[in-house]
Amino acid sequence: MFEFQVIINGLLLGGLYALMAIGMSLIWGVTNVINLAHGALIMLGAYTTFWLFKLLNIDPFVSLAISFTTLFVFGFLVQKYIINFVIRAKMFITLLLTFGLDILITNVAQTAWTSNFRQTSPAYSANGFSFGFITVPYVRLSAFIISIILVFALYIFLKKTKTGQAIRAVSQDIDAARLMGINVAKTFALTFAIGSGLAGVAGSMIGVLMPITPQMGGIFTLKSFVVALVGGLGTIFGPLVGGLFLGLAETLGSFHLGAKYADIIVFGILVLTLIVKPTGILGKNDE
Amino acid sequence: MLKIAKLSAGYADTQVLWDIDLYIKKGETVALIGSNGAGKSTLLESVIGLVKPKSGSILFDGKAVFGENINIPTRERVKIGMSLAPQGRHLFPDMTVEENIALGAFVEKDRLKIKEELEKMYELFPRVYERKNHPAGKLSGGEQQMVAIARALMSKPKLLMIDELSLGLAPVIVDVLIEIIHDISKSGTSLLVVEQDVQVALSVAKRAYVLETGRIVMEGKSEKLLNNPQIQSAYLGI
Ligand SMILES: Nc1ncnc2c1ncn2[C@@H]1O[C@H](COP(=O)(O)OP(=O)(O)OP(=O)(O)O)[C@@H](O)[C@H]1O
Ligand SMILES: [Mg+2]
Repeated sequence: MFEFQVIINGLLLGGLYALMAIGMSLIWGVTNVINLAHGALIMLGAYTTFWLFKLLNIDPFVSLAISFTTLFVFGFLVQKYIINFVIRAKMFITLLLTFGLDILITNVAQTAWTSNFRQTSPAYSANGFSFGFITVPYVRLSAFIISIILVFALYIFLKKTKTGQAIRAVSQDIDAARLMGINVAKTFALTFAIGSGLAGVAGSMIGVLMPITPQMGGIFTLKSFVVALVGGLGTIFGPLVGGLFLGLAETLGSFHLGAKYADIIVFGILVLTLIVKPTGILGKNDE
Repeated sequence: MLKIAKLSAGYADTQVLWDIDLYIKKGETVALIGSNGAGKSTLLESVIGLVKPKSGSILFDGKAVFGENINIPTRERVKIGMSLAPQGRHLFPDMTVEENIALGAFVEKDRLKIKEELEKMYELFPRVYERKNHPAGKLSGGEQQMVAIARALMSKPKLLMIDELSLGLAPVIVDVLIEIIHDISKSGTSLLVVEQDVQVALSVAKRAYVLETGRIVMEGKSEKLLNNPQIQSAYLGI
């Protein structure tokens, strides 16, 4: 019975991991930029929701949309005016640049909001429901559902809309995309905007589940990185599969072996993936 | 339709094209012949705007698309009626054949018109229709070339450029493609076809240019070029 609760916890954590990683995976898969500032964007999303709740009493599930929009605009501008200039440069350069961005955003946030721990705590934040021995916290379940909805929404967006098709075209062959009449620079900026918006949504949820500080982003960048790689880069469902897989592995592992093994398990899986199937669980074998 | 004057182009510090003069009349099919590395692809890419020339001018349908202080982006050139089926096809490998072809009409907003155009392509290329739900990356070379041409036609170009029409394809397929080029030409589209096989080149085009190490060394009617002793020895091994 206890085992069952652990699995539920693992799946819920996995949903949260997926939510964190969708944006990073999209940006990475399409523009080939590993955005080391991804966690900082999640942090900004968390603060957006926190302040909206604290100052205006706006419910976190309502401010999700505001968080998405704010980070969407922020991501668009950052891509257009900063990252765009090095988009064709070596990966090392883009890594350096996004690392610098991460430090910059974190420090500005620290200056503006101090390092004090905060948390978005609506009345229901600790509630949940139980059946039998199993308890399911509402907020975690919501994050899980939101993450699944977002993955499917993204799938439909990429398949059916004009912008979505442009994004897929650019991710597969930039020159051919140009020949179709696609504006590649704009498509990159939109991709970055959507990825950042999704990071904002993740932040909104995370801020209800754990303490918010300007430095909170680092671990999320790392976890998103692992989830994106393990799930399979350039695949739409990769973050979901990778997130659930890692959430389960981490939770089951720390339950049976002890909590101190959690990180060993996560990064062990990363190393194993890179050795056994570098394209990730859903990634294609060839290339 | 197209008028290129004194065009020079290259990459970083290597110049590839020197003083190119070339024109195509409305409805005309012109072939561009030349050995490997002569600069044929660079020329087509300059015309469509994937490569930025160093100097000279490109006039298309009465509009300057490249010149002093003018360099309109590829997407604008596509909108006013240029299209390129590039060397190596450059299909989107993870998309289906149908998605690939439909993307050719990206600049068209009306979904119904895209659908109509798609039907026309399936009529022109029945083989492609049978494969419409396959990933483009899994097609044979001939099928890929057909998809690439269909995709390039989707924007209803006034000028269609094809880079390496027959390279690597079986003779039966090449014959089919030559037929299709004739059909496209009959519908009033101008064509610029890069082709290393002189027989093929001269059977699709009434007029041709010969490019050698970045310069146009010969230009004229196809029959005249076929009988030219220099062409015969350089390209036909006669
Ligand atoms: N992206 C590039 N960067 C640098 N040099 C290039 C690039 N593309 C082509 N070149 C060089 O420009 C010259 C002309 O190349 P181009 O591809 O235009 O020739 P081509 O006539 O199309 O040859 P092929 O028959 O092999 O297709 C070659 O020397 C080639 O090495
Ligand atoms: Mg070439």
